[in-house]
Amino acid sequence: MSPRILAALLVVSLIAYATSEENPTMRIEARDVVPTLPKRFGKPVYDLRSSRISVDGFLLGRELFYDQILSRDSSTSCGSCHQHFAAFGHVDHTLSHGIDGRIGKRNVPAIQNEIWSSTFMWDGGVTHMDLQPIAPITDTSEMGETLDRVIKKLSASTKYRRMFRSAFRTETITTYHMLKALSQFIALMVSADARYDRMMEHRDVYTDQEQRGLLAFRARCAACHREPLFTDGSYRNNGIGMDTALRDVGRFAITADPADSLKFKVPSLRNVDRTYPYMHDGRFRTLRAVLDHYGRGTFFGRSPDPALKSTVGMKEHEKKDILAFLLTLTDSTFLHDRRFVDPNIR
Amino acid sequence: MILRRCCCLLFLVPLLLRAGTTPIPIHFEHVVGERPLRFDTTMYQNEQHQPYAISMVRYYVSAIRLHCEGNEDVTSEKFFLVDASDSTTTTITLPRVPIGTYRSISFTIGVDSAHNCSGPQEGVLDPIRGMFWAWNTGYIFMKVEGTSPVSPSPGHLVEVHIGGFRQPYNNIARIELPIVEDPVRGIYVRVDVGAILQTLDLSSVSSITTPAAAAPITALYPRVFHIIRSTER
Repeated sequence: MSPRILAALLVVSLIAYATSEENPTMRIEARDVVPTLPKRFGKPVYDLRSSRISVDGFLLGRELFYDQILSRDSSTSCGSCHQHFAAFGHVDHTLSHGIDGRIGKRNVPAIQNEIWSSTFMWDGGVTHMDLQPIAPITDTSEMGETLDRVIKKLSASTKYRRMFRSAFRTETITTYHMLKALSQFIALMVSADARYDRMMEHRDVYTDQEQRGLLAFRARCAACHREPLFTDGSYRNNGIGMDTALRDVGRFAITADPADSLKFKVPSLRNVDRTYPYMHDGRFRTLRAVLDHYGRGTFFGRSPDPALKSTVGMKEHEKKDILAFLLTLTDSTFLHDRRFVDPNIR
Repeated sequence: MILRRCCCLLFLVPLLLRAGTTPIPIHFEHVVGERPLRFDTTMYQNEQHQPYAISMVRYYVSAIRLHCEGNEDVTSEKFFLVDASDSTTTTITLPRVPIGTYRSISFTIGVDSAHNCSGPQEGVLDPIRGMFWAWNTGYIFMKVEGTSPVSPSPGHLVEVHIGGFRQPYNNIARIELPIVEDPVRGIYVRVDVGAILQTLDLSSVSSITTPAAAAPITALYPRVFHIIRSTER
């Protein structure tokens, strides 16, 4: 047998091994569902004590996350838009895509470190992590389904009856347990092992350019993109001006306060290299375009955020350094975490 | 022997205590002005002479309290979802009310801020009941839906969704109504759904679905909720 054939056989058997039910590397054990809680991140907002994560709860949450059954026409799952390799954002689509080929209102946000967040969505309209999934499930241009029908479909499934029984010792499937299961999956989506994190923990060192980038970032950007989560969770008008098609007013739609017009939640910059395009309407395709916008200093809207002053006049070399620094926020451990892989991909 | 007799007496204590209580049913009767509420087929008119039909009336009643003359108030911490089309929901019974003189009943139309903020709830507060805003976390305290030929909305829909628990648009409303019967055996609350649509211009404002837009509607509640003195009905 030639070495080439041997190698091919090895690859084939490895793939078969990797996808078999008994594959030990894909098995989730109790130690796999302990959330990573770096001290630097502070105390999580989400109450992990009253919503404990179990292996069965996590597995159920993951199954639900990747199941199109949650959408009206069985076309769209949470994972359709929230792609693992894009830090659970969606690459390339400016706006979310949903059932019947419909286009949503906003750019798919990444899902990471959500247990440290007190509000969700670009406008912060959702105020509890457990309640977030109801929004995309029931949105007519996303999953377009009613909770009533979702629960009926899940209750009719032998697989889900079994999984809910194992996770919650319950015979009846309810919204409450469905949301708690999804949260058990989402709570573990912690990005804390980028090169930035390792450098902060003295496990890695920056190149000169990355180091300059960090300093420039701190001077120019960190007022809003605060370390270590790279967002301060606030709502701000970043001066890009209202989009012409959807005329999205942002946070104003939630609070009805004119001062909140055109404000959107500051997104985290973790894994930012993987979450293009950028801004709430996905109008910028590259990080370069984002930096150009901030550096140019032409801000639209009634009240661009005062903190934007620090970005104006960014020099060419600063932009290059900041770009190099932003790449150190890419967390391969998170992006390749086997626990988050769609269990039904064979 | 004596011990056994004492035990028997001990068992009697709760029975004796309970003897002084009575269940009090609270009936919600839905009307439009002077007419009983009929769904879908009956047309009503508001003060702008705009015709409309009602297809849904649902609201949360919570924190019921009977204010007692000279004794402790009777309170209920439960949440109730009244659906005017479902007679199993239009009577709320307080199971053990001590016999006494009550001067008023008060209740909340809505859901307190704690239950809006602490994640998913169960029972009548399950978001599956459709009384929940997914995009702007919080319960819809009251839903009145119908149609009007003058409504510009698709299907000529008229929808009033009242919710919002944060300032400045905190629409959690407390209703207090007098009780005049003594002793009280049942409480009849008349809910005039018409009062909600009475002053709206349905040709321009056919959809109220945000806390800010709903705020002026809660100001109409004194015209919506009335007590009927009718235990002898």
